[in-house]
Amino acid sequence: MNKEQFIDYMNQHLAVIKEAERKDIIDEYINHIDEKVSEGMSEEEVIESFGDIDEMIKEILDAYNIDPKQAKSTDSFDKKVNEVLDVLFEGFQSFLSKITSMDVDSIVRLMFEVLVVLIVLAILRIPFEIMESVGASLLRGLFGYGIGSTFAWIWHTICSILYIIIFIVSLINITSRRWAHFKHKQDTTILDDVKESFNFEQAKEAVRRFTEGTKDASAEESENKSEETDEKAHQHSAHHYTHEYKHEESHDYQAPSLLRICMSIFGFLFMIPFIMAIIVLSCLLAWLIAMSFQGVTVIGFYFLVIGAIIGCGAVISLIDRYLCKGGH
Amino acid sequence: MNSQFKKGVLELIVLLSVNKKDMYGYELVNEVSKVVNVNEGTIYPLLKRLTNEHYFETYLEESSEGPPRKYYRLTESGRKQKKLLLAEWKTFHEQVNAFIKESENDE
Repeated sequence: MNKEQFIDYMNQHLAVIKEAERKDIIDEYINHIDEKVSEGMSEEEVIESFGDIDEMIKEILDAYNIDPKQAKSTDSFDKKVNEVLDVLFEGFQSFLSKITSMDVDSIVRLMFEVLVVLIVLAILRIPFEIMESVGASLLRGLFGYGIGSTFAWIWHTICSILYIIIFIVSLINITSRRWAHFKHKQDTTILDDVKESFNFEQAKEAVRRFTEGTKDASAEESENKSEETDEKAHQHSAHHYTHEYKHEESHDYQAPSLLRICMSIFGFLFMIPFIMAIIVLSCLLAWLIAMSFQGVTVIGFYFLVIGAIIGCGAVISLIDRYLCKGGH
Repeated sequence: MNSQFKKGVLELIVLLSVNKKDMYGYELVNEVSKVVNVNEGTIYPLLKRLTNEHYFETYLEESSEGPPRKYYRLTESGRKQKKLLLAEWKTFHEQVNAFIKESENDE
């Protein structure tokens, strides 16, 4: 084994140890090899003089109180988990620092933007809802109640999955555009980003056709889109209104600050369910990661995820049922 | 020599060597292998462990040849550990020697 191979081997088998620490210890060996080589030994001879390298690795891991067997079975997996965690943590940290450095105006604006996005996405649900019910009744009519119900159920599932995919894709799309603009300090409104994400021209086209009375196959779709645009227009004017209102603040400070407080409270209440969901999800994630560190295999990990999802579903449906009972 | 014997005294020898003066890794390895014949690779993990247990602290110092060297220095708790190990070794050594004498007398 030469020096390069030795370094590679060490890096591979000490992957569980943090990079800085790992470099620290491997550097000691590199120095040792260099010193010996300068005294006239060959790299291979020096590495041979180390004896059993696996034994050496075991002792290094032992110095960190790591069980060598466990390190072997999960080293690459743990490394990946660590990388993902690092990225998530960094993202979360920068997000937090951004949020805490914001003034009240921007927070209100951010919440307003979140609201707009959610409304748009909720409106997006309408065509799917129609598609689902129309499809289901068609299938029931064609195949009778027995088999038809099964097909309808499959149809429902397909529609839901489609909607979820579109929901996630457009959410990512909007957020990434928004983020890019935010980074470049471009003063665009959220609506511009939403427009960009949905290719607004197409929708306009559909609306125009609809108003002209050309009722083709896409009539239903365009109807929904027209609702969407109406809603957006409302939002747009509302947005402008708030902007104008903010301009007036400089003249009369008392009332707007009250309004601001009200809006913050409203926004906070509005955010609670999302915050709760995020907390629950992160607790779940943390638990799963903790389990994986205790040596759970990949298959076990999948079972845990499935179990956790089922558990969460059960809890949510229980709460839902309880609330429904309370409501009636 | 039996490798289990070596392992036991290695920590004591390393602590005693660094107690004399601060040393860098390679120097320390040479010092230790003068006393005990060990695989040189096994000393570095021991240095790491003793550093992790805060018996050693490390600092970098420029060298005339090559890159800067990482020196090991004994901490206060390292000195305590050295005393403890030395005392343990002495009693152990006396007890074993006494026992050996006794068994030789029996023969």
